[in-house]
Parts: sequence; C-alpha cells; structure tokens
Amino acid sequence: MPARRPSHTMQTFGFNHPTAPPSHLPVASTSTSESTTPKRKKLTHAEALEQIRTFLRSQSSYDVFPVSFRLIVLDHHLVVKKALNTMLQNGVVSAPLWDSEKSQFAGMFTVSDLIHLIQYYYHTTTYEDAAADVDHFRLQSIRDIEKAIRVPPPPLLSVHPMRPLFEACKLLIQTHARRLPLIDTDDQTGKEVVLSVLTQYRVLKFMAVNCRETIHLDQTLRSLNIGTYCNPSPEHDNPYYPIATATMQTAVFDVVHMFSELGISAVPIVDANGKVINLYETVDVITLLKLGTYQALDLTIAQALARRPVDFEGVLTCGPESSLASVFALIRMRRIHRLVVIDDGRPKEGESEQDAKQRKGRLLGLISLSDVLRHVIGSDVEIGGGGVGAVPVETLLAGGTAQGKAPRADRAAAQAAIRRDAELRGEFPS
Amino acid sequence: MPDATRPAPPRPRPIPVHPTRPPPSLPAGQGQGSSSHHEQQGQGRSANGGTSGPPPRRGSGDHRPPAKTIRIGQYELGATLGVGSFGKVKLATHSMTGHKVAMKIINRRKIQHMDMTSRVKREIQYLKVLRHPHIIKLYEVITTSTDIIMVIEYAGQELFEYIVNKGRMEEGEARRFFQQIICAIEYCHRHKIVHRDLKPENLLLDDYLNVKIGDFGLSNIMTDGDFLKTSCGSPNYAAPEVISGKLYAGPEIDIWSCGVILYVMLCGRLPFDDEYIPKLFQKINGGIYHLPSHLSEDARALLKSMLVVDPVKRITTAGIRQSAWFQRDLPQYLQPLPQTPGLERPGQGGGQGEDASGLLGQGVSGVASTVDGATSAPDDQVSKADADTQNQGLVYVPDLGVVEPRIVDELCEKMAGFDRNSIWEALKREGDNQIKVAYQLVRDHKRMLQDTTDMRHDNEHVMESFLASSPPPWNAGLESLQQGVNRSTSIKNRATNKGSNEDESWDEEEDMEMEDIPDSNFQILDSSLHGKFDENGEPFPPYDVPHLQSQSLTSQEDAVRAAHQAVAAQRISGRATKSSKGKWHFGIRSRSPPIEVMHEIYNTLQVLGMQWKRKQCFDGPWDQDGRPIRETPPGMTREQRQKEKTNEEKQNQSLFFVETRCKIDNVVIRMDLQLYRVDGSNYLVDFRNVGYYRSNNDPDDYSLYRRSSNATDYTVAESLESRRSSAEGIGAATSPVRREINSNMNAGVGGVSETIEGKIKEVCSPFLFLEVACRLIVELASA
Repeated sequence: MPARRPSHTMQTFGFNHPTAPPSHLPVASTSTSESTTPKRKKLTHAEALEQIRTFLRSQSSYDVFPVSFRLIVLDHHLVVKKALNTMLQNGVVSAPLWDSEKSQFAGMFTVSDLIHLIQYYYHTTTYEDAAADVDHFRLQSIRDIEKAIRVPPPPLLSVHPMRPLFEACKLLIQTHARRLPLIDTDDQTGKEVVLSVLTQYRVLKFMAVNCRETIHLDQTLRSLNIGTYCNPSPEHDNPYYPIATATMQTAVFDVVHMFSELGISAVPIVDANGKVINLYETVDVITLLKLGTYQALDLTIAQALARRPVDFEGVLTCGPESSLASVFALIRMRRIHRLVVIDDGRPKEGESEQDAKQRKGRLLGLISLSDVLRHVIGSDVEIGGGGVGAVPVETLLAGGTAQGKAPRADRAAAQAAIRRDAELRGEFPS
Repeated sequence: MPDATRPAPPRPRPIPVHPTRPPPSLPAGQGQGSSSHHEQQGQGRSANGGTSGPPPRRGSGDHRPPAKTIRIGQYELGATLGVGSFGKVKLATHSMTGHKVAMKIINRRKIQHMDMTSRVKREIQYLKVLRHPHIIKLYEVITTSTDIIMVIEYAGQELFEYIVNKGRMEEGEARRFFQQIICAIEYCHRHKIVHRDLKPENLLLDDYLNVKIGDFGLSNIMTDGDFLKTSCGSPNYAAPEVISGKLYAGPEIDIWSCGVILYVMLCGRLPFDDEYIPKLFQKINGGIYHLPSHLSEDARALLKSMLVVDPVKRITTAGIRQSAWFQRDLPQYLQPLPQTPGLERPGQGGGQGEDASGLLGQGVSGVASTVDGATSAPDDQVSKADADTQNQGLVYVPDLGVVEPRIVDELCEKMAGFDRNSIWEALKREGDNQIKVAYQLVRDHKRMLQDTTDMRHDNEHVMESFLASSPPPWNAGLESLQQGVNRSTSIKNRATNKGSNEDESWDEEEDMEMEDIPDSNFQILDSSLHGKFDENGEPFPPYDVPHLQSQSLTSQEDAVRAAHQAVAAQRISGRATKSSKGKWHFGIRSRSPPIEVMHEIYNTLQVLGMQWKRKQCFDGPWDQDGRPIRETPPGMTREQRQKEKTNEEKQNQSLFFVETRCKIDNVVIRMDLQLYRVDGSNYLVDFRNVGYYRSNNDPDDYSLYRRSSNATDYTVAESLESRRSSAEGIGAATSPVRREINSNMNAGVGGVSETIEGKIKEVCSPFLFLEVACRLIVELASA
C-alpha cells in the first residue's frame, strides 16, 4: 500500500544537488556550463572517485530514499507460495522477513533463496512432492534447507539508517543478497523496525544523480578491471572461463544449478559462434515459477525466454571500451542490473575487416552493479559469494573459519567488527 | 466497448492501429477495397475535397431496409452498424422527424455477467454530461427488461477512413479538423473528463465532415486523488506515461494523442511505429519521430510542443489555442468561451508558463453528480417568473456583467428546487456559487447557438445537428464543479510526481537516449527482445542485420503472427491482472448489521485478552465506566431513539468507535477500531495505530488489561487520551467517506505517522500494530 506525498523527481533524493551543492564539493556547481567556465579544473579519475567517496561519507543511507516509498515485509511464518504471490503482485523480487514472535528482523528473502529451494527439492524429492511441499513450506524453514545444501543462510546483514552511506555500501558489497535492509529501533516500543532496503541500483543511481563528479570517471571499464572478462585457459574447457554460459537448448534447471553453485545471478546465452543472443537472469526464474509448476524447470532456455513478459526491455550490452562515466550516465537514465560486454567488431591492427566483423557480438565479459560499486567504494572489500562452498560473509566478517554457520548472535559481533575496523581506518567518525 | 457509430463491420485498415500491423505509410485509396457503401462515401468526399463545401447529404438508401421494421419507442431500427462484446449498434430513424440515430443496444445479462454494470453506467454518465458540437451526443436511454438502449448521435464515417482514402491532408484541411478536435477535448477537460483513447477510429465525421468524438467507453472521470491507473488505448497513440504504466493524471495524455492524430493527418503516417512492441514503446518513450520537410514552420512547432515526452512540459489546450498554427482561420463558434467562476481561480492563465496549472485547474472541474434537488414542485415559481423579472430590472454583477433575465427564466424552469428569489440572490452574492456556474453554462450554450447565424455556410451544419439535439442536462454536476477548484493544486503536485516514489522504480531520464552517451556504445541486445526467437530457439527474423534482406517470407509472417500473439497475450494478461486486483481495505468487511459486528469484535477482543475501551468523545446514553455496546438494551425507548437522532453525528461516531489495547512483551499497543459504512449494507472495520507505551508490569499478566483498574497504565493512557481528544475535533470535521480513505492510508503506511490527525504523533513503528491487527483479523475470521 503506497503512501504518497508530493515530491518532485529530483527531490526524491535526500538532497537536491543541482540547487544546493554541499560545501565540501568544490566541483559541484549549480549550472551545467561545464565547457563555458574554463577555470573549472577537470578532475582526474582518481580525484573524482575520492570526491564521490567523501560525498558518500557525508550522507546517510536514509538520504537515499524518497520522502515516501513502499515497503513489503513478509512474516517469516508465511508459506513460500503465498510469499511468492505477494511479491509478484507487488512487483518486488525480494523482501525483508519479520519474526512476529520476537518482533525482530529475520533476514532477507531473495531470489537466491528460491533458487536454493529448487536445488534442494531437485536433489531430494520429485516435482510432485516438491510442489505439494512448497504449499506448506514456510519461509522460516528455508534456513534449514540452506544448511542442508551448504549455502549461506538468508543474509542477516543490516545497517542503521543514519550510519554513513559509505559504510552501508561496504556492507552492500559484502552481502550476497545484493541488498541491505535498514534497521532502526523504535523509541516507543524499543523494538526493531525495518525501514527500507538499500539496493545496489539505488545507491548507484543516487550517486549518478547527485554527484557531478561521475562525469569525470573517464577510464574504461576494461582498464579498471571492472567486471568479469573471458580469460580462457587450457585448464578449463569452458571457452568463456570464468563466465558461465548456456545455449538456447540448455535446460532451465541446469542454469538454475549454475546460479546456485556459482553464486551468480545471470548467465549469458550464446550461439555456436560465441555471439551473445540473450541473458538468463535469476529474476527470470520467478517469472517462470509464477506460471505455477516446477516442471517449468525442464523447459529449454528458449522456451523459458519466450515466457518473459512482452514488455521486457531487452538485455543491455556495451562495447569493451566503455567508460565508467558512461555507465553512470546510463544508470541515470534507466534501471539496469548488469551489462554484457560484447565485441564491437572494430578491426584491430593488422586484422582484416572481414575477420573483425566475424568477431562482432561475441561475448567478452559481464559487468554487474556489484563490480561498479566495488570500484567506487574501493577494491579492498571482498565480494560476498553465494555459491556452495563460498565462505559465508558473516563468518568471514567475524573472523571465524567455520563454514555455513552464522548464528544470529554473531551478527552483532560481525557488525561491531566492521565498525571497529572502519573506525580504526578513520573512515568515519564514531 | 466497441464504437457506437461505426458504420460497417470489419474492413481492412491500413493505418496500423497497433504495432503489429505492418505498413508504416498510408497510400491513398487503400481503403477502397471495402464495401460499396464506403466506396461511395469515399468518392463523394474526394470529389468535394477539403474545406470548400459540404458534400451532398446522403440518401437514406445507404442502408438496406430490413424485411420487417422493428420499432423501439419512436425509432425504426435499421441496419446493424457494428457488433461489440455487449451487444449491437444499430442505425435507427425517428419515425416522426426522420432523424437518423445510432442505437447502442447493451444486453443486460451480458454486462451483469461480466460485472460491467458500473462501466456502462459510467459511459452513460459521461455522454449525458457532454454537450458539444464535436462530441457524439446521447439523446436518451431506453431501459427494457433485457437491454439498455442508448440512443446516440449518428455520424457515418471515421476520420480514419477519410485519411485512408485521401492520404495526407493539406494543412488547411487538417487545421479545420484539428481545431474541432482540440475544442472538443478542451471542453471535456473542463468537465473533468479525459478521453484516454483518442485515435482516428474514435473520431467520427458527420455528413458535413465535422468531427464528432465518440467512444467514451474507456474514459474515466478524473477524480481527485485517484490516478487513472488503467492502461488502455492503442499503443501508437498512447502517451509515454501511459505505456510505461506510470500513474498519470489525465489531460496531458489526450494532448499527446491529439499530437499523434495531427501528425497522421499532416503526414499520412504514424509518428511512432514499429512491428515490435518493445521497439515501439522505446520510440514513444524516447519521443523519437521524424518531421517531414513539407510541414510548415508553425505546424512543426506545434507538433514538437505536443509530442513532448515529459507530460509536465507538454503543451496544454490553452497553449495550443495560442499557437499561430491553430489560430489561423479559427471559426468564431470555436473561440474560447468566457470563464465560469467555478472553473477558474482569479488571476490565472495567460502566459505559457502558467498554462500547465491553468489547464489542470480547468481540468479538474467536476461533473460527477447531478443536482438532486427535485424535492419541491417548481411550477408555482415559474408562473411568477415574468413579474419577478420585471421587478428586478437591470442587475449588474461584477463577475457576470448585466444579468439577462431571459437566462434567469430558464434557470428557474430547469433548476427544480430553487425558487426565483434564491436564484437572484445567489447571482448577486459575492464569490462563486453553483447558481452562477449554472448561469454561465446556460449563457455559453446560448451564445454558441447564436454564433451559428454568423457562421459561414460550411459551418452552419456544425450547428444543425447540435440544434437538433435534445436540451442538455446543463445543470448536471454543479456541486462537484465547486469542489474541483480546491482540488486542482493537489493534482498538479501529483502530476509532477510521476510515480517516482514507487519502490525500486526510479524515474528514468526521458530526454536523452542511451545511444547519446559519449564514450560508450550501449545497445539493447536485439535478439533479447520479444518475438525474436521462437520456443525452439530458432530466430524469427535473423538477428544479424546484414542478412535481413534475405529474410524469407514465412519468417516474416511468423514474426508478425508472434507479435500478434504477444499483443493478444498482453491484452489477456492485462485484463486478468485488472480483474484480480480487488479493492484493498485494511480491515474487515462485513455485511452483518453494524451492532452485530461490534458485538463480534467485543467477543473476539475478550478471547484475545484485549481491552475494550470507549472513546471519550462520546456522551450518549451509555454509562460512564466504559460498558460495552452489547450491554445496551436492544429495545431502546422512543425518546432514546429520538435523542439519538438529534445527536446522530456524534453518537454514530462513538457507538462504532472504540479503542483497544493489548500487550506484547512489555509494550502496550493502542489501537482504534472504527466501523464505517462502505455502501448499502457493507461495513468496514478499520484499524488505526494510536501508539505504544512501555509497561513495567510483568509481561505475562495479560489480565491487567482486561480489568480496567490498573492505575499506572491509566495515568499514561489518560494523558495520551487527552492529547488525542483534541485531535478528534479535526478528524470529526471530515466526512465519513473521507475518513475511511484517510485511515486506510494510515493503516497502509502502517501508522508511520498520523498525518490526518496531525501534529500529535511522532513517527512510530507499524510492526507491532500490524501484528495485533492481524491477530484480531485472524480471530474474527475464524470465529
């Protein structure tokens, strides 16, 4: 149930950069007369990056959100099927869970949980049993399943809404859910309150709209090593290694298995010549399961893609030489989650035009928002993995080595550790 | 609902109505493969051509006379003009005057079956309200036991066919059509009606080539606070905000469609067109179209200002009126009407910059309800009319000028329930009132009729059909006209909001294209768009561009078919989601008598160990220590009843308005329960988060809250109570319906703050409140 208060597009962001530039940003100015004011120094990539980071430290996570927004929270007693329906009805692909007995936040329910669930049933039972089970299966039990198949539990990381945005960004990179709930304590009740969920796209869009410095990020994605690029080696028979790919004839289930095992969220679909023809994403699994039956997982990718909504906007590609600034320009413009890097078919030195044309459209790499965010925040932060065998984020943070176990009590410890860590480095005042 | 006055069953349509129809251009004469009836029309038209003069009146021989004449009332039924999902549209002739009309015959069973009664009612309501020379008129509604028959104005041809037959028009001719369309649209917007599905198929032409806008089946009265959420219309003509499913406020979407129509008239093809819907949507959203070189500068400027992607920046009808291209040769009867007091705020309009607010101000003026004042007989007043007029003499009112007694006469005649003196008084009173609005409406109407005498031969016929119509129900909706003024501001705010506060759906920049970003080559992977691959992974058309020429015919057909299916699927799915989306209330609905509902709530609260507490605003016949409703004697005495009636407002509030408390851990949750009447026999129990306080008592001792003796609790509670009761006064002023919406919204936010009651509460968490409310609902539902 959305609540509305009048607000203008720009004002939906925490502050209105173009009209009220904060004093710490010498470059940000009220006008767009970049070219007509020669005194303004053009920033280097590194300088721009540093200013953006300063900006992120000056803002809180809460500033990212509009005056009014909608939040779907699910009770963790809810049956998975009902939860899915609710999410579909409201057009969200994830939701914070709520433990109504303890009146506290109980983790995030995301597409990866669903994928783990599918994985579990595939290994343990038949579709029919699975379908029957899913009717009664409650969200709170997903953790048991995830323990059973040894994947990280529903991410429990969260941040206080008034903590600096920079801190939230770091956690955002670390959590495998790619989203971070903002949790506050209510004065009247003394209980937790889920305020909203910070997503990578939201944060990046906030930067793109409010930081003029993003136009100075002129280095190319490739040179910054943002993204994952094909790097075939004799040790691996995958010609696109380390990128997992599929063809139109691959079964959906096999792709779901890749999602689960590798902790990835998208698989490029290539043809025999290595040209990218589509991209299958974890959210597509939701669309597929919307149709009801888990048999849908036996479909080929081609069949599954044909069931995408008609108004699907299409997969976005970019050439290998795109700059980071251009990615921010794109983020300002439309909602993206990842970009497929394809060969633009420009002839290299000593290459015939014919050969170059042959290469056009071939898969070169994949760029996710995590990659972009990690570069902006600083590459010293590990990306949280979601795959089997990956070290669970929270264990990682708490400095432990035990796998797959991250009891709730550890969460506070983990957060405290991060905070201490950050404070020691003087990244934000305590 | 299919078009009412479409003259014939299906025929080939060269203008792609939706993107799957291939030909992008409109060669003249393509539509001539249709029935002989249309050929005849087409030839007749082209011979006459343009604006020069009216074509000869068509003989009645156009339609085959039915073997046996069926009569409905005074009308003889003729040929079937069209068949829709609810019934037929037939041509009919009035037996006495020989007037041709169209009859939309709607089968009652069918609409009941499809739960469409409200939609039909809506359509009828719209048509009844609209009186304009360029809008299809509803003459009367005949109801039989099986059917609802709408007798509507007959216009024989679609503007669509006309364009098909003629190809692109000269600017002068297009201008004439355009002026008529814009004036009709302006009129609609003034009356708070947005057409929402403007396209050449909905623009009909009468025998004199005058535009008549029809098919209001899809339109929706622009109600304050309610965006037009239903996505409808043909994609090619739909505004970007419509196709991208954003919440949109209204008038500006018609402007876009008019822009597309103008483009089609001037260029003979669609500005936005593509075989594939996603591409088409992309073009519309990006505002990508080409202006051919043959267009004049003025026409280009006008088109550019209408086809602006950002609805806020789009030109308004007022702006169009000021454009040079529009003003040329504007017939006198289409000159702007004087402003009615109820529609305008003083000091508004004028400059282009102000127009956006100006139009919206006009746009929201209401028309929704009819004045229902037929309680006293008006006849005795009418007899006095002449004498009274004499007595009044010449009266000058600042905002009306000299009051014409003739119009006052008419007002007296038509406004049942108002006597002559009160009308005069209302006219003389300062400020706006509904009588003044009515006066101006009648005056405008008269002026429009008078203007016919000054018109050129060509335009005379515009009025001919207008004059022939039944008198307009001009006094419809006066009350809402008044309300409309106050609403305009909020709509404006919402319009600029553009739904940007939707979760995870930030607004996208619309004035720049992805391809324009420097140092990049972002592209949408063509092969990932819909309809490019079949289920076997075989491409429909090859995705490699160089091979496009060698594309086989079959694959092209396949693609078209697939696209068709996609559109059909989209339509079906769109409908499915629409019907599945019920009206959401946070609370419980019940059809039981209100007192039983409250009794049930009382019992349930007891079961759950929640406390029942009367609200303090109540001073009725109940005892002061908060004894529950069920304790009241069911058989009240007559005096009590009488007393109750006198104090009804207050009592009703308190009778069905209680507070409950319950404890989770050490937190006491305070919640208001209030019963509202939704409609007829439906009641809604609404829950409102009043707030929390922490209690130091043993958390397990729920019984505390059943007994009303705990002192510590009450000190806190009473102090809250007193703060609250001061807020009550504000709340009580609003109407019950309004409050229902408000409190529902509050519940929706989860009581983040009680904005309506205002100023009292700080932000508080919705979670515990929701938990308690859910417990109560679950228990009530299972009881």
